[in-house]
Amino acid sequence: MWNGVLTPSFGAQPTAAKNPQKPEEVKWKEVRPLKLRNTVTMRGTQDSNVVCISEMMNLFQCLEGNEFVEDNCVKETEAFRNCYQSYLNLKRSRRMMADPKEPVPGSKKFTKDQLNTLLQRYPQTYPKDK
Amino acid sequence: MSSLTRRVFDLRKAANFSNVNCIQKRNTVWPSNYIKPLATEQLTEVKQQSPEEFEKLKFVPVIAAPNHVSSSLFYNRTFDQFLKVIMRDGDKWKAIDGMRMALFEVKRIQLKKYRQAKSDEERAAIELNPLTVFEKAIENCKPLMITQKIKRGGATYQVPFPIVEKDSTFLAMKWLSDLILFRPKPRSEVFHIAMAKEIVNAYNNEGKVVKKKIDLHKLCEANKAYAHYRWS
Repeated sequence: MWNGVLTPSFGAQPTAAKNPQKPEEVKWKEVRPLKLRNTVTMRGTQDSNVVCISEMMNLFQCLEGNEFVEDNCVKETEAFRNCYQSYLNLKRSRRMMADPKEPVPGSKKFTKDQLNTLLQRYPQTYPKDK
Repeated sequence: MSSLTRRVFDLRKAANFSNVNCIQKRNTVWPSNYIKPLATEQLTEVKQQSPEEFEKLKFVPVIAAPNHVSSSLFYNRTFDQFLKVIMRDGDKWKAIDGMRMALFEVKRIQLKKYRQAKSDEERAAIELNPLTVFEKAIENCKPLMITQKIKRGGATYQVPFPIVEKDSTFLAMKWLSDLILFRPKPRSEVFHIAMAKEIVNAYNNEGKVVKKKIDLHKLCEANKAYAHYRWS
C-alpha cells in the first residue's frame, strides 16, 4: 500500500561497462565428464511412402489406352489397390511390433535396445578409469 | 448436499456411466479378452452348430456394437452412409424423406425404360431395384487415386497419391451430394428429381460426377512424373 511518501525515480541507473576477460587467466573447468555415455537414444525413423509406383504406371498406361474406362482395367486396378493395402498393413504391423532387445550375433545393423544391451554388457573404458 | 440428494446424484451418475458404455466411442481400446458383438442371427447359428461354445459366450464380456450397424431388413450400409453425408443442420428426417423420394423416382425412370423395351433381352438387362442402382452409381463414382499439393523448391506440384477404399467412398458421396445441394439458382428441378437423374446417369457411367472422377484421373495421369515426390 502507498504510505503517502513520494519517492522520485530517475529511470535506469548507469552501470560500469564490463571489461573483457583475459583468456590466459581463465581457468578451464570440466563441466560434464569428457566421455561418452553407455546408452544411446534414437527416435523412430520415418519410412518413405513412395510405394506402388510401378503398379500406378501400369494403371495409367491401361487407362490411357482405354480412354479412361475403368472396366477394361480391372486387373491393374486390383493390383494397385492390393499393393497399397499390403503396404498399409505392413506399416501397421511394424508399429505394433516391439523392437528386439537381444542382439543377433553376426548382424551389422542394431536397434536402439540391442545397442543398449550390448553397451551394458561391455561398457566403454577410458585410460583414466584404469 | 443432503444424503438423499447425494444418493440421487450418485444414482444419476451411475446411470450415465452405464449409458456411456453402451455407445462405442472413438479411439476406444478394449481389453483383449473382450469379443466382437454378434447379431441374434449369428448367435442362433452358433447355438445350432456348437452348444458348448454358446454356453461359453454367455459369460464373455462383449465390445459395444458400432452405432451404425443394424440387422433390419431395410438397412443398407451405402444408403445409411450417404444420408450422413447429405444431411444438413442435423435434420435427418429431411434427408431420409428426400432420398426416399429420389429412389422412388429412380424406380419410375427404370420402370419406364422397362416398359418401353421391346425384347426380353433388353428387359433382363434393366435393373429395377433402386437401391442396387444407387449402390452401383456410387461404385462408379469412386476415384482410384487423388492428387495432393506438395511444395518442392518453391513450386507446388499436384502429386498423385493412392487412396484407401473408405476415403474414395466418401469422396464419391461428397461429389454427388454437393452437385445436387449446390446446384445453380434459379433451380429448375426439385431435389429428388435432380438427384434421381444424376443417380441413373452415374449408374450408366455418364453424368457430371463420373466426368469429375475421370477429370481427376486425367490430372493424375498428367502429373505422373511427380509421383516420386510423394513423401510423408
